[in-house]
Amino acid sequence: MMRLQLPRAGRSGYGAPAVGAGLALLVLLPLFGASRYWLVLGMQVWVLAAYAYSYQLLFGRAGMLSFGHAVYFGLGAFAAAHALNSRALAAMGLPVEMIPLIGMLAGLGAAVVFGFPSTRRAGTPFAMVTLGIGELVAACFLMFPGFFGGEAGISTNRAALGGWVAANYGAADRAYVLIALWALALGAMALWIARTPLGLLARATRDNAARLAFCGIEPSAVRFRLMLVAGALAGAAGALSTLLNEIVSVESVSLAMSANVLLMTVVGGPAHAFGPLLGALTLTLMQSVLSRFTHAWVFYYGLMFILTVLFAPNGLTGIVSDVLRNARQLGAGGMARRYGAPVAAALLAGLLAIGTIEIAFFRDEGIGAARVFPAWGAAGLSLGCLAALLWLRRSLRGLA
Amino acid sequence: MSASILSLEGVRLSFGHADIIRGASFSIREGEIHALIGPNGAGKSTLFHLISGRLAPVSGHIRFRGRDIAGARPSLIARLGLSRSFQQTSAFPSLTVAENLAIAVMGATGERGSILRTSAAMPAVWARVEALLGKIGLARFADRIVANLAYSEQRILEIGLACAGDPALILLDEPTAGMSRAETEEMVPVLRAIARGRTLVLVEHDMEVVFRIADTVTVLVHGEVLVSGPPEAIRSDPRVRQAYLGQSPEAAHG
Ligand SMILES: Nc1ncnc2c1ncn2[C@@H]1O[C@H](COP(=O)(O)OP(=O)(O)O)[C@@H](O)[C@H]1O
Ligand SMILES: [Mg+2]
Repeated sequence: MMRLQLPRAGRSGYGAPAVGAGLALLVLLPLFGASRYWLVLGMQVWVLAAYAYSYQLLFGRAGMLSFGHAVYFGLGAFAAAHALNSRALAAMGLPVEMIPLIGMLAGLGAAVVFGFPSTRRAGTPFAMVTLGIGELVAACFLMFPGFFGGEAGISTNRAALGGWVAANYGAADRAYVLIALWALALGAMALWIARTPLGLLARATRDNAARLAFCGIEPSAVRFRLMLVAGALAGAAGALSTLLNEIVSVESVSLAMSANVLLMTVVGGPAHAFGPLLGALTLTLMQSVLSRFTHAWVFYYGLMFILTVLFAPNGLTGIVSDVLRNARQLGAGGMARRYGAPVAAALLAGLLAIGTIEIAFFRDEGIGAARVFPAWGAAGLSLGCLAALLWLRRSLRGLA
Repeated sequence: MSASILSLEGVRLSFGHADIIRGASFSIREGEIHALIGPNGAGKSTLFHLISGRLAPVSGHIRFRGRDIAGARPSLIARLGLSRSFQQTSAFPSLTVAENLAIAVMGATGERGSILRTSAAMPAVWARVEALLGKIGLARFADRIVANLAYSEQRILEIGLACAGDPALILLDEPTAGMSRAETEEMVPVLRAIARGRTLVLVEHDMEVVFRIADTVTVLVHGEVLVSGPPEAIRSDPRVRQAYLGQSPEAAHG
C-alpha cells in the first residue's frame, strides 16, 4: 500500500537535538552568570515570543489579520495582576506557577465574547472588527478604573504568592526560569495546534474559505475555534508579562501592543516554527539595545518591517533557511557569487539610509547617533552615495 | 419511476435589474444522470450556485430530499449530502492533493477540528483519502502542492473534492472544461463511475457526451427551463434547435 506523507506544520530543517540543546541553554541562562539586565531582557524576549506564537496561529496559519490581539494579552495581564493581589487566592494556596493559567482563562473568556463577532467574517471585515474591539476595550480602561487601575495601572508583586518548586519567584534568576519554561510550553502548544486537524482546517480557510463551506465545514466556526485557542495563549502570555513587570497599564491592551505582535510575527517569519521567537528577539534587541544608541530605533524597526513585507515574505527565518539551503548546495565560492554583490549593495544602501537619518536627526534635534559619532554619519552618507551611484550604473546597464 | 431527490419550483434570481433565473422548475430523480444544457450565459452555473447555497433565490423553493434548502448555508447543504464542483477550479492551492481530499472527507465525517491529536492521527480519514486517490488516479501526486499541478490534474482533483464525502447528489459544473477531445473521452467512464450509487447533475457543453450518458436532459435558455426529458426527445425537439440559433445542439459548441 502506498504511504501517504502526512501533513506536518513548520518543518524547521534544523536537527531536533540541536534545537533541544539550544533551547535548554536559553532556559538555563541564569546558570551562566547572566546579569540582571540580560535576564530582564531575556524575560522580555520570552514573553513577547509567547505572545507572537499565539498570533502566528491566527495570522501565519489562517491568514487572519487581527489588529486587536492585545485585547487578549492585556486582559490576561490584568487578570494575572488581580490574581496576584487577591487575598482569597493566596489563602487558598494558589501557587505562583499557576498564574499563567489565570491569564489563559481570562484570554479564553475574552475570546468567547469578542471572537464571536470578529470571526463571523474573514479578510478586511475581520481586520476592521478586531480593530474596533481593540479600541472598545482600550476605552473601557477609563470607564472602569476599578478593574484597570486608571492612569497608574495596577501594581503587584510576583513574590506575593508562594510557589511549588521555589519558595517564591522574587529573584530575577528564578523568575527567568519560570517565565522561560511557560513561554516554551505556550509556544509548543501553538505549534502543536498547527499540526492538529484544526491546524489543517486553518490553512484551508486561509486558502479558500468558500470551498471549505461547500465541503460541509463552516469557515467561521474554524476561525472561532482558532480565536479561542489564540486568545487563551495570548492571555497566558499577558500573565507572564505581569510576572515580569509587576505592573500592568493601559499599554498592554493598546493598539501599539496589537501592532507589535503583527510586526514581530511578520519580521520573524509568519509560517516558521522559530519565527515568533526570532521576531521577539529582534524587537527586544532593537527596543532595549539599539534604543541606547539612537532614538530613531522605531524608525529602523518600521523600515525593517516594510523591507520584510516587500522582499522577504517568509521573514528572517525564511532568509536564514534560504541561506542555509544555498550554502549546502553552492559551496563557499558559489555563496560568494550568489550573495556577494547583493549583500554589499544592501550594506551600502543601509549605510546611506542610516547616515541620512542620523544626520537629519542630529541637525533637527541635536540627538541621535550622529551626536556621538558624527564621523560615522558622514562616512555612512558618502559610502551610501557611492553605493547609490554603483546601483544606478548597474540598473542603467541592465536597461541598455 | 424512482422518487425525486431534488426539485426546483419557480426559482427566481436577479442581479440588480437583470433577471438571471426566471422561474425555473424541474426535478431530478434519485439515481439518475441528469444533464443541464443551454447556451453560454443561460444561467446554468447560477442555478448550481442557488442549489448549493452560494446564492439565495429571490423566490421559489428548492427541495432536497424533501427539505427546503433555498437560501440555506452552503456548509449545511453540504452536510445534508449535496456536493458540487466548480467551473473554475477551486481547491486549496497551498495544500497537498492528499490534504485537499482529507478536508472534503473531514467535512463529511463530522470532524470539526479537534486539537487533541495530530492531523496525521485520523486513520479513517486518511484511509478514505488513499482509496479516493487511487480511484481518481492522482495517487502519484498525493504529496504535490495543488498550485503546482497541471491544469488537467487540477480538474480531476476538482471532481475528487466533490465526491470525497460520498454525497447522495453531486453537481458537476463543466467537468471537462478546457479538456481536449481525447481527455473528454477519458472522462466518460469516470463520470459513470462517480454516478454509481448516487445522483449526478452535470453541466456539460459536449453534446456527444451528454447524449451518451444522460438519463434526462434539461435545457435552460435565458434563465428558463425550455424543456426537460429523455435525450432522444431533446435531440429531436424543434424548440431546442431554435434555441441553439437554428443549429442542431451538437453543432452549437463546435
Ligand atoms: N455576479 C453576477 N452579477 C451580475 N450578473 C451575473 C453574475 N454572475 C452571472 N451573471 C450573469 O448571469 C447570466 C448567467 O450566467 P451563468 O450562470 O454563469 O451562465 P452559464 O453557466 O449558463 O454559462 C450571465 O448573463 C451572466 O452574465
Ligand atoms: Mg457556467
